[in-house]
Amino acid sequence: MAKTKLLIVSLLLVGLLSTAGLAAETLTIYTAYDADQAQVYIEAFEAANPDIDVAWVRLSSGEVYTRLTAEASNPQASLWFGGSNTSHIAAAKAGLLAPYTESLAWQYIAPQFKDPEGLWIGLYVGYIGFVSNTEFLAEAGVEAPTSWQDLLKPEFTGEITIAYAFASGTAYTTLGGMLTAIGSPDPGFDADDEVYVAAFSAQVGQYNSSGSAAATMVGQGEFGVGIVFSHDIIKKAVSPGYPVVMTFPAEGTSYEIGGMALIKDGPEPELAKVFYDWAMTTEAQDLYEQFYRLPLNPEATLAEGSVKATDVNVLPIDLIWYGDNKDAMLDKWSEVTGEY
Amino acid sequence: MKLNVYRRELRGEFRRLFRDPVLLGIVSVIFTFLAIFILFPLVKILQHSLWPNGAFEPKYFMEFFQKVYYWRPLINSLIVGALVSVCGTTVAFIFAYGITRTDIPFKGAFRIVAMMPIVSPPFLIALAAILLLGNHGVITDALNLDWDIYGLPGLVLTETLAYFPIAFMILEGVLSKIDPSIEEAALDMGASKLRTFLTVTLPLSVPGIASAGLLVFIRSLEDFGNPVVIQGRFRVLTVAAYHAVTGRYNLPLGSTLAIFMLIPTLMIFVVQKYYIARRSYVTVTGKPSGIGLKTTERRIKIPIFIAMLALAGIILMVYGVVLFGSFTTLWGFDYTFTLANYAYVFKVGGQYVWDTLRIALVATPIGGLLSIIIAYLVVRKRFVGRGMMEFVSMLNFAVPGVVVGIAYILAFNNPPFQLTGTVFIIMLVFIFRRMPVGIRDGIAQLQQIDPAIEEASSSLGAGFFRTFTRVTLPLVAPAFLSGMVYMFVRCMTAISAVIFVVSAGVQLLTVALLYEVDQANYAAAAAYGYVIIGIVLTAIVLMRFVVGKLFKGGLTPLGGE
Amino acid sequence: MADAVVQFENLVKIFSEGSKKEVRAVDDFSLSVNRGDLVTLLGPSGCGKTTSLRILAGFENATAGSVYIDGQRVNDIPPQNRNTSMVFQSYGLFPHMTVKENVAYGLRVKHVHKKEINTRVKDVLALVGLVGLESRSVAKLSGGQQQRVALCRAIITKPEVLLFDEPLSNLDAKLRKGTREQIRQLQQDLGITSVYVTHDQAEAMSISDWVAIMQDGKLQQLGPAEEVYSRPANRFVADFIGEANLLPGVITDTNSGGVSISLYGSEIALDRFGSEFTRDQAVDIVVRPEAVDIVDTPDGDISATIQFSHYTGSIVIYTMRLEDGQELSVQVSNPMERGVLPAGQIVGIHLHRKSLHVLPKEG
Repeated sequence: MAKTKLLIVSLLLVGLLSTAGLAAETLTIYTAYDADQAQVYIEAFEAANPDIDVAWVRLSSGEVYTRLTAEASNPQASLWFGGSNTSHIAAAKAGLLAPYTESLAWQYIAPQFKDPEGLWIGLYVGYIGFVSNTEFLAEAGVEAPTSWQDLLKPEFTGEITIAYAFASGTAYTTLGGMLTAIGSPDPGFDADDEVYVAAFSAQVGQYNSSGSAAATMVGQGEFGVGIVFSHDIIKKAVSPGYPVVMTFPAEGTSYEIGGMALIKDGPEPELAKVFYDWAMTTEAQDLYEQFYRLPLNPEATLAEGSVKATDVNVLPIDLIWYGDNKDAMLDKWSEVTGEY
Repeated sequence: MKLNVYRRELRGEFRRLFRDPVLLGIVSVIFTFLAIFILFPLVKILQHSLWPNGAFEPKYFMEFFQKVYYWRPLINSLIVGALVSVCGTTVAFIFAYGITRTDIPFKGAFRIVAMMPIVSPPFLIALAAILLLGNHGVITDALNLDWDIYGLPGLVLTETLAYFPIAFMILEGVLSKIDPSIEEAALDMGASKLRTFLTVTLPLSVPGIASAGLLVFIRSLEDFGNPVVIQGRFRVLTVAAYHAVTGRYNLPLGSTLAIFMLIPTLMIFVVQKYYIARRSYVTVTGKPSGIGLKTTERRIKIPIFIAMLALAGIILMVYGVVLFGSFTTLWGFDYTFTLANYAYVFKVGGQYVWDTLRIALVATPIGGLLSIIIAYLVVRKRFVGRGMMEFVSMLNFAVPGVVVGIAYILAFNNPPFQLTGTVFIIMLVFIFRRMPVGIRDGIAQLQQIDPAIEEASSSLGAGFFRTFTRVTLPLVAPAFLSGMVYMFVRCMTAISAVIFVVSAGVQLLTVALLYEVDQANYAAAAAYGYVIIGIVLTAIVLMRFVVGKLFKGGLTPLGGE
Repeated sequence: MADAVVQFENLVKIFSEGSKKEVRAVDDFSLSVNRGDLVTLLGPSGCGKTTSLRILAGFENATAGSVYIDGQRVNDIPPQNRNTSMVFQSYGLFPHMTVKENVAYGLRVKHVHKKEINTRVKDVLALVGLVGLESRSVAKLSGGQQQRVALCRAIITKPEVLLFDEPLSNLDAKLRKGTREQIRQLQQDLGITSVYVTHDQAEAMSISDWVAIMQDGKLQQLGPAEEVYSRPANRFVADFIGEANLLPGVITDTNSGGVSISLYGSEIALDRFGSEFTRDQAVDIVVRPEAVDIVDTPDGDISATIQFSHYTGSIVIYTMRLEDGQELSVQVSNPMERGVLPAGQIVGIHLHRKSLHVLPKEG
């Protein structure tokens, strides 16, 4: 009996002692980059700032927005790093972000890539593309899609994969593109848009939580076609060598501004600003090269093979409007597709 | 007359409770815990569903039946549950029958294979299903098949494999405890083996089969990991609720969906506990007879053996392909052997391993102790509200993990109980989720002890605390420690509740695993899976060793003949 | 009243199992136990004796009525705070402890000093002849030894009341007799007030100061063994203790102190019961099988036909039939002196006047 007691007590001690963690300076951030990417960026930051430890959670942009709403009375994190800025805009509207206009970066970034009050700033841009598995295309006897309408072809029924619009910035950006390209280009759902989105949803074989997963799945041959940001398509499908081809819709494609923001009443505002400043530096933005993202710092290096504005037809999407009306848009999307 | 008796007894019980301060203290503390950590969160769910903004406004309740995309997932969940229940119980019965009632070889190996799904997170099987039977899976390609594993087929396959071990454990117990002389009597009167089986063995097993089937039904209804991976467009309720909360922060909708998840599971739980369990015909004499009727006829043995081989083969294939996948470079494309995935797990996930382990190691003894104390109070003591204590502490058994997760967010996000973002909320989820099983086992262990032993201790002047620590605990220690291992395993493989409460400071291995699957990084996911399996197996082996050393002879309670 | 250490006062216990049926296990039970006495609660299973004992110990709670120990009402006091110790049917020894640890348990609870514990353990083990077994694990003892350890454990704490719950049921017959003598001897030497429960009437009769016979939760009779045997209070007691023949009769005459009873055509006169019965009252006469002589037919009070003889060596038990078909059981010692009588023989039965007991005819 004594031995058992010893065993239990020692287990408890081990656990409890380790629970009392040692606190260096710790910065808590939410990031929408894929975990392996985020790891690279954050480790680079920690190397440049050795006295700051970063604790981070990876969530898709829609999920970050949800998390901030849930934590509004007691924010757990101080910085939001990455993810389509439509979510940042929605969060700004809901009063969840803190302004920061004193950074050097905020001075030189062009107005269309930042919030006028400094509630968010743009890190990079990306363009939505289609990725198709070439073996699937050969078997199905169909060409890779080059327009939004192509996606409704019967050969693609059940073969398309994309993320949930409410979870992922990729998918919400795609939705914005569809609504602009189909029917009237005015923001929001019109009658043609409803028909299209419903028909498109019926083509989808599997919805994911994370935007870039579709690229990997298409590469592996699990699905035939995916809709993903081009930088993710290159990084996850083309560059590893999967049998894939990337195409873009001829009517014009959608784009995102990857954003960053200070979280209102976050626990470590000063540390967050250190990270914020660092993220806009050339050294930091040079890291985007290996992931094929297009940095907004004009002195950062562009990757070979990355897709630039001049390579595609870009739709005139009102990102601010889509950010401000995100909740209503998602409600409508749920109704039309039956997914929520 | 009865009411008077009841009232008198009640008053007497109150008086007695106040005369015994130690008992009073413990009972009060436990009731407080149960109220805060089981009832309060459930109340919050009701509140957010029916009174979302302070006023009574059951918007989603009303809409639930009007909008197809709200109630469709409920129907889907029930369909899957029913199918999984039938398939799982059948598979379990074949295994149980083969092992207890025939003389086929390799029984030990079959038992191990039948219990394998317990040591891994259940949704690892969904991963394997994709690797094997996905659109570009190993088997799909090899046999050039044209099917879609996503959706109902995938759900039924994965959940059957994941949850049949539960049914197996129940049926193994039931089949081995049937008094052999009953069957021998039937044969003696001229019935054939088949007739005996159909008219004696099977009917006697029916309550056990029903129990097993219902429990598998509950597990299927509350499954979150498998559907998230493989449901395709066949939406089930757990995933819908998860998205409502984490995707849209729509707490009223999430709470409403949670209630619709709760209703079937609670109903099934009540039916199983109060209706079927009462009708058990099996003579539980505490010792499985083992010398039950063994079938040696080849025409029965052989098909069963083949079926078991096939099923075992499927399970081995499932775990095999995941093991294989963990060593590949780029699943679906480049199968070169590499250790990079494990390196990735320990690099990125090293902190997760540590976090998960330390939380599990703290939660397990606390949960175990709490369970045995409650079991003791319920079995041995009579006090006001005993029945209520038993009911509430077992309640979580019927509450789906997703519901617990949502409920805990609702309950502990704000003062006075602001626990979100901490390690403690995860520990609480672990402790109170696993408690019902611990209590049930504790009750079974305590019932093996002659009550006279504890009464003797009281008779000699020892109060509750001394009796419990000096007499009761040492006697249940071996089984208690083994029970704790099971708790630990469940902590390491849990997903559906904890996925709601992880935060920046604390990450868990299962959540990391799910993320990798979600990202279609199947090789990395497989590596995570086997790291978890490795930890769990180590714990099991370690505990067996420790228990063996500490309790060499085992302890048999005395009691006269 | 003499020094009553234990008092049951109108004790009632109702079990309501599953809200379907109510069982009155103890029904208005009252009893006093004096200091130093051993009182046995005796009766068939289900009579309420064990329940009453457990209520006294504190393991069950009374539905109504009171229990007093040394004048204090103990109904709401938990068992560990009552000054009672119990010896259980299954002994209840702690299997993970040694003999010494078991016996010393009650003293450790009271934080008695270690040296004193050692002395007292040794002393009490000596009383039952178990010295030298202190470090033996109790699991390794024989049934009889375990029983004695349980006894030591209970008495070492010098309880106010010692309780026995059928302590000998699990022992084999030979051991039972010796052990019960030992228990009685110990109880008397130490002078501990004891309440003893058993269904074995021979056991009850041989060790008790008082026997309390219970049935259906009610006390049927309380008295010393001889009284309960020779002057049973009712049919049940008469039947339960030993064998009893109940012969129907009618009172023909009463006078100062005595009665005349007519049965089977004969008249017998007794010098007691005069004030208890009236003329023409129907009665049952309790005749013990050994309280008769077999005589020649004309010399007997009644005549009977032998149906069956059950010879066991030291005695023979005859089953006889009386003229109205009533059965009569007769026991004769040393049967070889006269020889065993054959079936069918008609004999005369002489009743031992002093051993007869008369009961009013019941319902």
